[in-house]
Amino acid sequence: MSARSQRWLGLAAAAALLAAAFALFAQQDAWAAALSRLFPQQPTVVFERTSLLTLALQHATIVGASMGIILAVGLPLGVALTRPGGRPFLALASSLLAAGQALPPVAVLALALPFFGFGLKPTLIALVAYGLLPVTRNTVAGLQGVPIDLKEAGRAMGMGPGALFWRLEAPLALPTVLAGVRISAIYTIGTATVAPIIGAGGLGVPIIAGLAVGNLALVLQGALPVALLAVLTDFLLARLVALAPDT
Amino acid sequence: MIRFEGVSRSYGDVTAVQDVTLHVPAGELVVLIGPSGSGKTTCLKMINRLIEPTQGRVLVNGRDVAQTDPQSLRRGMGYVIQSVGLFPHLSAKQNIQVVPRLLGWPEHRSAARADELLEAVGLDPASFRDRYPRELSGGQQQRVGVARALAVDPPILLMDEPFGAVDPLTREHLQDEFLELQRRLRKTVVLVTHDMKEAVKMADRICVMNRGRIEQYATPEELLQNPGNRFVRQFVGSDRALTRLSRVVVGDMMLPAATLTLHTPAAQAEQALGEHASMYVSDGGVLVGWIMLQALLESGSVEAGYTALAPHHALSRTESVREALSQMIELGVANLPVIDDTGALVGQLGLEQVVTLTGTEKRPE
Repeated sequence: MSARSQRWLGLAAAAALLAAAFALFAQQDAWAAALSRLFPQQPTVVFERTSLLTLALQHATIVGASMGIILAVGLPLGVALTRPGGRPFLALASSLLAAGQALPPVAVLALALPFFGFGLKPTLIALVAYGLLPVTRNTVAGLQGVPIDLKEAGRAMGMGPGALFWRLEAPLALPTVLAGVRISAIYTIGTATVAPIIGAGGLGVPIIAGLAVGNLALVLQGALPVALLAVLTDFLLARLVALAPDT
Repeated sequence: MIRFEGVSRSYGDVTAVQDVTLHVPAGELVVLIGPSGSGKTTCLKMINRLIEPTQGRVLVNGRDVAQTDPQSLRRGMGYVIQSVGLFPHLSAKQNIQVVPRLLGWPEHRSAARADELLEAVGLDPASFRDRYPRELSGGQQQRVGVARALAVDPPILLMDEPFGAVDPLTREHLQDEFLELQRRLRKTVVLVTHDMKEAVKMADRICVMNRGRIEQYATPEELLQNPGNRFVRQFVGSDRALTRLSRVVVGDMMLPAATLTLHTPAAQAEQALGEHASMYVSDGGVLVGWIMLQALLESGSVEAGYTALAPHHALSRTESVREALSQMIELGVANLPVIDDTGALVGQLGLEQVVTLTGTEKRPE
């Protein structure tokens, strides 16, 4: 088997593992049984108002929507900041993005609440502010890392700005960009557990409920799936990075 | 073909190129040479508008390049730089296909062309077309670079230190191969280098540059024989006489050589050796050695008296006179036989002819 098809196989395996994780979340009774073993004194070991699968799907939706916005904003922003017209703004944008990441997401939620009320919107704002930096920074770094000699060779062969970007800069920057997406996705999966504070649901629900009443079983019911999702997503994106043409 | 008319380029107060007027005739290989910062690369890049002149104009086929769309201008000129120029994420074939794809060639046509060019630069398409640059040696990368520059058969080639990044042995090979290719293709080539040996070997004309100006523009022979000023004299080096010898091949210089055979009767041999100090001896058409009169007289026959000659002590017609001279010095002899591929004696080269060549004579006919 060629190295290339092996890599595709790795990607497929990672996707299958992620799907298997959701199948596992659907086994509400199995989770209850396992957690009862760990906490025999605890009468309530799983969150009962919403099923684990529903919470996991809510979590995936929040993360998916945040990542969608992060990519839609971060990638073009990173590209723009490396074009001649955008370069003067690079320092300013870097500071703003760093500030966005320095603010604790919980604080952002509190600040966004008066303007956007409860629910998904303020959550997305907090997560996007937090996760935008790695994607944008790596896009900038990846594009800046393309050797000047190569770009000049491309120009000398008659490549216009479009061809130069799509056929030379983008493929060469891709591994670095994907590494940024990977970091951002892991951050977002973990940080999305703050969503229930303003009623946006997700796997943070049992964690926050458990913390409120001192029920560690509930905290684990939320934390374990979050950790599993983070690890498997990281694995999936790592396989995706391996698919990018290496240089 | 390419004409610089009073071209200058400055960056603020710094003048990189000053009032350069230069004509590169079609089908010739012109070398721009000079120390770092002499403006040679700037001149090269003004031909395909990577750099724009601040004064004067550059004409290609009589058209001011400033009036030509840079992208179509560049697609009509092959460009070769040190091996860094290959795109690392593309295979050898895909690298060669870059310009054909920009021009919208169908895949089967550009793929066939890529194979044809790999073949032309001495790389077997079947084993090299799918390799990535990192899987190629420096010399192989450079060959792919040349193939890429030739992809759409442009009439002009621009080469910036094309053989700079490889070891000396590979460099010689690549130079020979490129010259062979150039003899067939007759492209108009502008090549930038700082290596005088390379310039003398490759160039139809050499343009010596210093501090943005042309010091001398001449054929290699003329440049070596009559350096126009002190800078050029220094730049071509105090061994310029030797450098000139590297432009001439043994075949152009050798004199006919009379031979004896192993079975030439002693009396006849003695008579012949009376006229020459020594003679070469062949057997069945193949050079086997040499003999002097004294040895003949002492032994009584050619066969008994000749001194055997190792094949590597003979010259070939395509060797440069410089190499021949080096061999004479190494062996401590004033004369060497010249043989062909079959080992047959075809002539001889003596120190006297070499000395004549480095004297005032332009070039012996």
